[in-house]
Amino acid sequence: MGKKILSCLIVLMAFVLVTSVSAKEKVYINGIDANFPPFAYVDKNGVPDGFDVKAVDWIAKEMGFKVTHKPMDWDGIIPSLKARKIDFIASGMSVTDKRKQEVNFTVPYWVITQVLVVPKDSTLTVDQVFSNGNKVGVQRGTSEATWMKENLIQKGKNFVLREYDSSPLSVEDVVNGRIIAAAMDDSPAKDAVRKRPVKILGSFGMHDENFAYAVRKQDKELLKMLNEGLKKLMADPYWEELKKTYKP
Amino acid sequence: MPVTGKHVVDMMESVAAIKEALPYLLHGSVVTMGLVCGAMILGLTLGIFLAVGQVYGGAVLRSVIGVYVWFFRGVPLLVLLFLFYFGLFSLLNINLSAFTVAAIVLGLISSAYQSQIFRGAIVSLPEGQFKAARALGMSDRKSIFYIILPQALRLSIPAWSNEYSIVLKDSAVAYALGVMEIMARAHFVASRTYEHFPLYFTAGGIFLVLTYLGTKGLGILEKKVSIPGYTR
Amino acid sequence: MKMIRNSVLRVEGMTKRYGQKEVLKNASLTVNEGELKILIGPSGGGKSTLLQCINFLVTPDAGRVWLKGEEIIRTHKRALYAYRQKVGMIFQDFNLFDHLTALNNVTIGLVRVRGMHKQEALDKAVYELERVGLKDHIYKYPAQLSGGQKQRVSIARALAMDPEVMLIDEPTSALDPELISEVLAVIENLRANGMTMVMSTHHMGFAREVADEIVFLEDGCILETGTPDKIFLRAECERTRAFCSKILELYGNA
Repeated sequence: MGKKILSCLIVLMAFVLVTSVSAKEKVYINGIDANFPPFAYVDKNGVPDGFDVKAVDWIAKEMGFKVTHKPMDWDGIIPSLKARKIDFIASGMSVTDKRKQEVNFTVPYWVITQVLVVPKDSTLTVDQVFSNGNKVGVQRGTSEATWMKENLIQKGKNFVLREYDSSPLSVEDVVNGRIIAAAMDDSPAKDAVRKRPVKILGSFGMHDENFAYAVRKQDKELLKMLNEGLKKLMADPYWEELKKTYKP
Repeated sequence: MPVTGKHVVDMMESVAAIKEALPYLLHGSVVTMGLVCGAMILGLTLGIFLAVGQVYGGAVLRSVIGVYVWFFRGVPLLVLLFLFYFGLFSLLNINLSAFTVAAIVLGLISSAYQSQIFRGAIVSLPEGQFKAARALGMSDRKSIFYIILPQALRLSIPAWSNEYSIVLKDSAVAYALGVMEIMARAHFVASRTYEHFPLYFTAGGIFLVLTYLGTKGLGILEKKVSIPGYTR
Repeated sequence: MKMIRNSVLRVEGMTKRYGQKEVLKNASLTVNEGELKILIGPSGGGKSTLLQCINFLVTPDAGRVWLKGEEIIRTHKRALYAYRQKVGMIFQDFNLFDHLTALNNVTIGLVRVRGMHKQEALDKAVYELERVGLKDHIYKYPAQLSGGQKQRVSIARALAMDPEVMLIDEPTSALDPELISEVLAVIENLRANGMTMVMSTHHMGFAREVADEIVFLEDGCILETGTPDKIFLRAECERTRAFCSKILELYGNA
């Protein structure tokens, strides 16, 4: 009896280890935040989807390489890139000076405005949001979170910043009243407005940002390949198709 | 609060969202169980060695094991996951998937707890068991393997079942490394559909079912290996 | 003419200290082939300790042991294990392996220590269990056996290893009165078949009947040795006389 159990355990353990061995052929891994519709999310069958996902698939086909998309925590996505767990990041990532110190970016492919999302029936102005010790939500690890800390809170605006794992979660708390507003990129904001009783109040003073793909500093070849592909894509009619489908 | 038409529509939407997401979530339970099994097995084998070392080993071995147990019981799971994934394995240049790292870390932590379970069981056995084994001419290793462990492990099954339910719940934290287990999947679907509450509710339900099945299974195992009349 | 019997077991200078207390002081004895030597004395006098030092279950602070002329060095592990195979031990608390049936209690030593084949071990185990009268109980677990039956299993377990000498530590002290006789009967049977034994007991009547030599231990010292008649009727040492009279008073010819 003991021998049988032991052999079952060994087989099980071997199975667990074997299933995690990576494939031999070079497949590039795109790290995505799968909680960032419409740029990156997971469809009902669990397959990664979204504006950036489909764009990368097109670029991969065009430039002749294989790619998979790996959902992960946004917070740890740059460390993951540097630790070689993924090869590049194409997932609605804003270009910031701080990030430029860690990674290299491709040419920009989208301009994003930072907005506040409030309940549909709210009558607050932007100034009113950032006062009275109000709670404002934002996704952890985003450029808007950093900007708000450096430019609003440190400059004396009287509000509390609540950090969330994802923008959709912050929207939920706007709906149930835990926070009075949530800050995010305008694309997911538009997505939220489509699905929840919220509205876009408008921008809150943060500058517009560009989205670009990020690669490790030493991967110069990869950067060249992605840039070429991206430029080709933006000149192709498929680009308009993507914009129509995903409405970023 | 009167139930309005909107509530009914909301509920129907929620139910539809759950139904649609269910296959995807259930596939996540395969990943979850993979994590749990890997962790429990690692915890079991390592835990037995640690327990035997702590009970029968020399002073140096016992202190080393003591430090190990203190470390893995004292540092939060999330911290250990990041420490190993981004830190240790990167430094050693070993490229392991998030799943493997999560299973290993969960296993190491569990081994620390399991070692204490087994240690307690071993120590609860009457001294005479070991004496009689030695008196027959058995080496210490044989005595431990044929006489002590078969009894100690049987005694440990209820506590081991408890450990299983803990590891199962802890496995959800692997979502932070990007492992596509139940929790991660619930979150992805929720981000797309904004049906956060129904989805987390369902995820919770799946965990409950897995806990129930596991503890039930271990209860059956306990009965199967039980010795008639054996009590301590 | 008295036959010169060979010495099977020789013990010299056994000493054991627990902290400050000296539990065994320089105890020595020799057991010849076929002899039954019985240790008597007050509880805590060192009888159990002496027996467990002989097979090094308890590590003595000083003392030497020879089995059939060969000295046993405790630190030579393999030699020690081989030695223990030849020395059968019976414990006061039986110490049967609780997770094994009576049958497996006997076979485990044969298979795992002596390396016998499973079938051969089974046959031998059944034979030994029959010898102690437990033919119908071989598949029972210790929890399902009475105290007397458990002790008889432990005797079968020890006998199966074909020992040169048996060390028997108060085999009936943990038994209900009605179960004592079945165990003593087995021991008497062993003696009749020529087994060399050292036994400690409180049963004076039994000791008187079957012992070849009685050894009186008190406070870790062997105060006196002699034939049963000598010890019980003409003891030299005053302590011996005091102990014996008290015991005979309490137990009579139990």
